[in-house]
Amino acid sequence: MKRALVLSVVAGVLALAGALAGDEPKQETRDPQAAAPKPAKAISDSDLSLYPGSLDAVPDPAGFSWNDDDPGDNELLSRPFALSPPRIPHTLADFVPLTLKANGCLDCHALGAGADAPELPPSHRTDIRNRPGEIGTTVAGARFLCLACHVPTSDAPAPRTSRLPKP
Amino acid sequence: MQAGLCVKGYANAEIPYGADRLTHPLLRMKNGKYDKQGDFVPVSWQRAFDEMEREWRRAHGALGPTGVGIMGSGQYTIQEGYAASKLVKAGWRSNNLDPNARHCMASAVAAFMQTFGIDEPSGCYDDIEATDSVVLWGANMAEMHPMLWARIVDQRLRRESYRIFNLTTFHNRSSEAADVEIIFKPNTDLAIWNYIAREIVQRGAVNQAFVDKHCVFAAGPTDIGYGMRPVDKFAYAAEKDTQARETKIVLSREEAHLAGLDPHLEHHIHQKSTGDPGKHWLIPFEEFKKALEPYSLDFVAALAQGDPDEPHELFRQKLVQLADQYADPKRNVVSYWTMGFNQHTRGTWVNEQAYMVHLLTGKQARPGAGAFSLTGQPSACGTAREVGTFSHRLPADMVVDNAAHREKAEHHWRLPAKTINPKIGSHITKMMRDLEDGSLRWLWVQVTNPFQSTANANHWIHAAREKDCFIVVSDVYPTLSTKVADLILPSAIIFEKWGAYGNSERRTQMWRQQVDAPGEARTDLWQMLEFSKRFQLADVWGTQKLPGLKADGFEDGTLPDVMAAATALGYTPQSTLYDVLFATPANRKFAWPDPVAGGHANATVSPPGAAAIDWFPEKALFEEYAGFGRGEGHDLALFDVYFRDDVRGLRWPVVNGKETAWRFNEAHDPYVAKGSGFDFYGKAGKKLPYGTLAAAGSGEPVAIGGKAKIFFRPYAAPPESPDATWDLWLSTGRVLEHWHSGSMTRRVPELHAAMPEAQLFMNPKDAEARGLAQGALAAIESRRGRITARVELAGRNRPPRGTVYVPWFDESVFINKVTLDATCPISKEIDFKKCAVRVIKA
Repeated sequence: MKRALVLSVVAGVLALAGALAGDEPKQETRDPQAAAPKPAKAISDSDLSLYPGSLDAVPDPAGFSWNDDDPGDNELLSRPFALSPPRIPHTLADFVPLTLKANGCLDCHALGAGADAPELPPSHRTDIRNRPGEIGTTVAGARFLCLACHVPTSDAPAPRTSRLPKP
Repeated sequence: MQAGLCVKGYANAEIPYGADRLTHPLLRMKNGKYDKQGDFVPVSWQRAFDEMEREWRRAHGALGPTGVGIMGSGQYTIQEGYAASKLVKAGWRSNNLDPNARHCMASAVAAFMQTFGIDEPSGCYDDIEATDSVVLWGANMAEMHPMLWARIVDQRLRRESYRIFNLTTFHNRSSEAADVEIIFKPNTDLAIWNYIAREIVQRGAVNQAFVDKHCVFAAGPTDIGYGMRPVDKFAYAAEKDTQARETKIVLSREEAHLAGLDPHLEHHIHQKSTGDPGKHWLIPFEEFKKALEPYSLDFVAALAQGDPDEPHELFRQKLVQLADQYADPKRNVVSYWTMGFNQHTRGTWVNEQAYMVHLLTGKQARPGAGAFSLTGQPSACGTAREVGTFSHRLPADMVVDNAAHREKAEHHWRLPAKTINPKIGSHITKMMRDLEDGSLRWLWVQVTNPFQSTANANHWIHAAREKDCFIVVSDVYPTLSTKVADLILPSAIIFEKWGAYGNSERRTQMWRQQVDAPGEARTDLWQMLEFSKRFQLADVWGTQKLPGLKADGFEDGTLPDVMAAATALGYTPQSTLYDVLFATPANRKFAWPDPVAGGHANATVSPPGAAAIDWFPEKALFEEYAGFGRGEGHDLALFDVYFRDDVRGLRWPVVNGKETAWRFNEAHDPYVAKGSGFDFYGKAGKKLPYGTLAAAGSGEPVAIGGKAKIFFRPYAAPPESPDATWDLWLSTGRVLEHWHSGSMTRRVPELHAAMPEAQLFMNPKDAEARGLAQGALAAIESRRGRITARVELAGRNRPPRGTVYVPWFDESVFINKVTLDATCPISKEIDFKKCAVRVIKA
């Protein structure tokens, strides 16, 4: 059941990623919420949306802190599904901004960087536009800006939880 | 073609699974009856439509077709937008249909139409690899177009000669990979363009052969207002001084200087051209050249410098370097822009200025050379623009106030003559104003969150709750807009339906349904088809009052009874809009099941628990729609082609199975006249009289054929600038981790954790002067509202002294309570990038 669900979710990603994938899996009816129950009682508009309250209220934002753990202090974070980019389990403070001359991520994550950190996988050493299938040793230019896909974490509590089962 | 995904793209698969998906229609009720003051109670679809219909009839009965409306979306699928357009314009004879794309792309559309006579870019994304210099003008691509930005950065890393310029009002992530960052003062982009044009003319860098053969020069009125209400009846006391500038302004010193007036005197200028701000005429080149003359480097550098802490000489040098890029005949240049240009009280003008410089140098419609308006929404182009879900538009660039266009649409749609209403409807901001003044009483919001996304929001949320109106919101999650709704309808999300989108390089893409929607959530298309069954022709095609209607062939203030002609077409007074508009004999020939489905389901055809139909609405409506554009320069391929394994979307016009990468260029575009080289063949606005900078002449209009217009547009100050009380500029915008109002992305735990809260980005010196430290709680106040946010001094955005920036995705940091609803008077698009605020300790 879990596996079937993840498959159908991945199909969704493929559909958006590039019009339609060639061997697209056929639709599988997924289900944790297909038979969603009717709400049992009346709902006030204050209770709708992410931050309950009246629209005239001016709530004070709670604030949040970025993860300030040092690299290496934490295990890798779990991924919501197999293809999602790993999140950053450590502080970014010393590594941003990423510029064309200084990429603090690659200092540790480049192939052979010697740090005890996950190294660039083959996908990130492949120029998919011009030389697909050819795996190099350095980062592909189109992958240079890590933060477009890999995002940091904070201590903010999630306002709602996802129903998507974890793999 | 190989594409990439940013973090939001990867999170797409999680988006349907938030815990608070809307799964059942919810109606405000008390004691079993609809009550505007009631709480939301789950009801059946039948009951929901009953209440919608009853309220629709009440509003329509009292006010006629203008009393009802739909707010649509650049997230509509092509088929949804087409159905909405047909329902509102052909069925209800109201033109009150306008998308959230009004807030996004309307200025780009107006400029395309005025410059080229046809909408949408000449180039495509392949320009990124083909060019030598990329110039961002109010486009933080690193966050808002991260995958296109990755391609630009890739080129920069490969080629030492590649150059990236970032023109912006505050330091942002795109600056981090830019060779040159130019921080300018809000609205002075208008002056910088004219400085560049002046340099090109003075240096002899005009591509004379190109200009002589393919261009004309044009100008328009300058006293066009700022798109605010003309009266102060609904303005808060504090708003009245800003609102008064809609009718009369005092020129700024710089504006006076540019107009050749004494800058030390007060010049009061009545805004006389608010009724026809888009009017324009041809001018000789000498007039154009004369108009550019005051935009010297000295003048523009002094006016435009946006960071008071930058050495002035350095800023001047950067402007010269920028002019060099455009003036050098050996360099290809692409200019990209998004909201910084479009959300601008002179948005249409500043778009046109980009074309001015690219046309002057002949750097347009060639691989690697062009001015390119980037689109942020998935289908602002494919749906909102091409289908025509704007209050003035019909499919394929046609407009409701053109008799020939109406006739064409009526013929294609099999409608009696004069069914379509010739009066332009209310744009999305005007619909909000209409709610407040009682002239709109029934509103259906589809695929958008306008009560969060419209500026000056305190007015609109109160109007929705307190006026005699009925608001229906269809969405997948509860949003700020559902809070003010009277009826909430649960919708299917992208993967739970069939659809098609069109992006900013004219690429049309389609997808099949992948999974089922939860509970009783239904596709937006199903919702419209079902609701259309509630109307018979006798309800809508009789005589209708239409306040303010004045058009040739129409009695003032009245839409005619067209029932006799309808009968001649084979309809009866009892025919439903469903039968006449959607389930037509031609459309029902597109049978379901269809082999193209390959086993995939279709929730519009057979929603769980509702009656199934035997035709394929998504295919039928697409083909019917495509009939408008084939042979007209908007050719789309057949529906099934887009599902072929070797097709990754196709850029229109698709002629003889071949897509078009660069329009207007003979080597690439089959519509270009043979032997012409370039042909700007758009048809709109191609007959104009000559005049001077100041006014149109009285001569006969001249046909300009396949030529594009090079406009002169002057610098203009914004309607509201910082002063002693409101001493800071406020700009708003998006963030990498969330789309727009965050209604989908904020349900994804990983995205939420990465960007949990909208912060107040400000300069450390401004913060210190107000006693605010990093993370402090600050109040942001304007003439219109007050909110609080936490101060960020060292984040991804670093404003110069005098400017603050707050993203708008966060509904609890409701920045649109503070922003100003002034618009570009031509495009009616709100300027979200500048208003005056103060920031104090909360």
